[in-house]
Formats: sequence, structure tokens, C-alpha cells
Amino acid sequence: MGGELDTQVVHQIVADGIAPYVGATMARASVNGHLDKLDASEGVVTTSQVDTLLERLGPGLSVFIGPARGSEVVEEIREKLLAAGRSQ
Amino acid sequence: MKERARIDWALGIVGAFITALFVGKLFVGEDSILYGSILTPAVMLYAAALPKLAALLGGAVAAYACAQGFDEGSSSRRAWSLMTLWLGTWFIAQSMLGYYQLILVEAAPFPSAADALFMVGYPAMIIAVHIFIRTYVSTGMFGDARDHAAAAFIAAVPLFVAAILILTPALASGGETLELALNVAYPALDLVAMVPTIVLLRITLKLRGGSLFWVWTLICAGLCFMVVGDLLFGYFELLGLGFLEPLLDLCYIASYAFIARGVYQQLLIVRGS
Repeated sequence: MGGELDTQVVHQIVADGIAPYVGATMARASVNGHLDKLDASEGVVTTSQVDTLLERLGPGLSVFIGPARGSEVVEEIREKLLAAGRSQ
Repeated sequence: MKERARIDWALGIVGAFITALFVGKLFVGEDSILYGSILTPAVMLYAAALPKLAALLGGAVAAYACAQGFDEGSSSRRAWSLMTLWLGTWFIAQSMLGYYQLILVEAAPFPSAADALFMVGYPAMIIAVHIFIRTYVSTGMFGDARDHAAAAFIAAVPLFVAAILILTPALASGGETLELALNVAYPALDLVAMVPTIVLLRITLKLRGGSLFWVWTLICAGLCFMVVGDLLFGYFELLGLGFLEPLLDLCYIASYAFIARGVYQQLLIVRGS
């Protein structure tokens, strides 16, 4: 990932990744909560903040959909974020 | 058409057919040609027993497979294992009732070993739902745990009043000690089960639009049908409304079918299908 990513882009990609399981409303609320805790709710998100966000997202998701599927979803999100980082 | 959609279509058609059989019996009556010579009481016993057994067995197998999809020692795995125990014991209990009704062609005794197994299944189910709630709330996605505790308390008050109204006639009906204990235990455990079910429903509503929404909507709907069936059973017995028995069969078939479909939905999610 190229250093920083737009917060809105991160929000959209992560929320889209988990929405098929928890619904769009819960997905948006969850990502908002994570970004707030990382103090990254506005402007840009650094690579390390994205990594922390995904590390925190994984265990929460595993509770609902199992660790195997949870890891797959997190990896899919990571790849989309990497692609977004390259295109920025 | 996707495999899942095909399964739902097939289940819907079977469900509509079974509903038509039992609703038809209510309106047409046993004296009609249809229910007197074709859909005889023996045929209707099979029509009631086989879907219940299939749903409970399917649900137990799917719950076991779900449990295997979670890490050993995790609370999700514990909860799904308890769901397996619940559906598994009820499958064996229902099989025992089926053995009396279908093989021996006689009414199942009350109380019997089947009741002991139903009693083992209840706490497993109630504890499983409680663990699911605690685990889901611990993710921080569903608000404060105190809000859910307050919801449980608010739900418990009317259910406590309902318990008094429902259990009073059951207690007054008398009978052997064990018989009386079971007549009280079934509706009491149903009402206890409703408290975490209501809390779980509140959590489920927040998952609207996601595939997990359907897991818990179907399971909660199944639990509601089960409670309605048990409560109706008590009242039909007391009021001598035996002719309404097809309604009970429909409630239990719907209950087990919804629960099994909900558990299967969770299995599809865990497997990434």
C-alpha cells in the first residue's frame, strides 16, 4: 500500500467487504467505530492504521463466520485496499 | 438457479404441501373420504413425524458441522456444540415418540424416556443462545451489554406474568408427581427460552441485509413456533380441543424446519458457499 489512503475509500472498501454478512448498516457502523478508535475518521489513513484496522476486524468477524472464512474476507479486503493504494 | 435457491424452492413446495395436508384436515375433518380412506390417521402420523425427524437430524448434523468450523475452545464453537446437543437429543426423543406411534402403533407413554431427552435439550438450547448473545455483544458491534440486560429484564416481566397464568391451570390439573412436574417444566422452560430469544432478535434486527440476519431470524422464528406449539398443546389438552391437533403438528414442523434452515444458512456462511 502506498503510505496513505483516503479515509472514505478505506471506509467504503472495508464496509463493502463485511456487509454481505452483517448488513450495510452494521458494516458502516462497525467501520466507523474502528476508524474512530484509530483516530482516522477524517482525511487519510496510514498503512499501519489500515493494518491495525484489519487485525481488529478479523477476530470480530471470526465470531460470526468462523476463523477460516473470516481470514479469507480480511484478505479479500486487504487486496482491494492494496489495489486502491496502487491506483491513488 | 443456484443450489441454495433450488433447496429453498424444494423446501417451500414440501412445506406448502404439508401445510395443505394439515390445514385440510382441520377444515374437511376425519370423516371425509379424503381423510377417511386416503390420508388415514396412520398416513397423517407419518406426515407429521417424518418432517420433524428430518429437520431435527438435518439441524443437528449442520450444527455439528458449524461447530467444527470454529476454533477449539472458542465460545462460538461451544455454542454450536450445545446447539448440536439440543437438536441431537430432540431428534432421539422424537424418534422414540415415532417408534411408539409408527412401529408399535400405540400412543407414546407419558412420561417416557423421550421426555427426559427433551429436558436435556432445553438447557443446552437456552445456554447456547445465552453464549451467542454474550459472544456477539463482546464484539462491541451491538451496543452496551447493560442495554441487552435491560431488554432481557423487560422481556422477562410479561413472560413471568404469562408463566403464572399458564402454569396455574397446569398445576391445578393434578396427576402423578413426575407427570405434573413435566406439565409445568415444558411451558416454564419455553418461557425461560423466550427471554434470550427476544434479546437475540434485537441483535438480529441490527444485521438486516446481511446473510447472518437470516440465520438468526429463522432460528428465532423456529423457537417462537416451538413455544406457540407447546402452549397450544397445554391448552388443547385442558380444554379438550383434540380436533385442533393438526395445528400443533404444523407448529412443530415449522419450528424444526425453520431452525434447521437457519443452522444450514450458518453452515453455508462458515464454509464460504
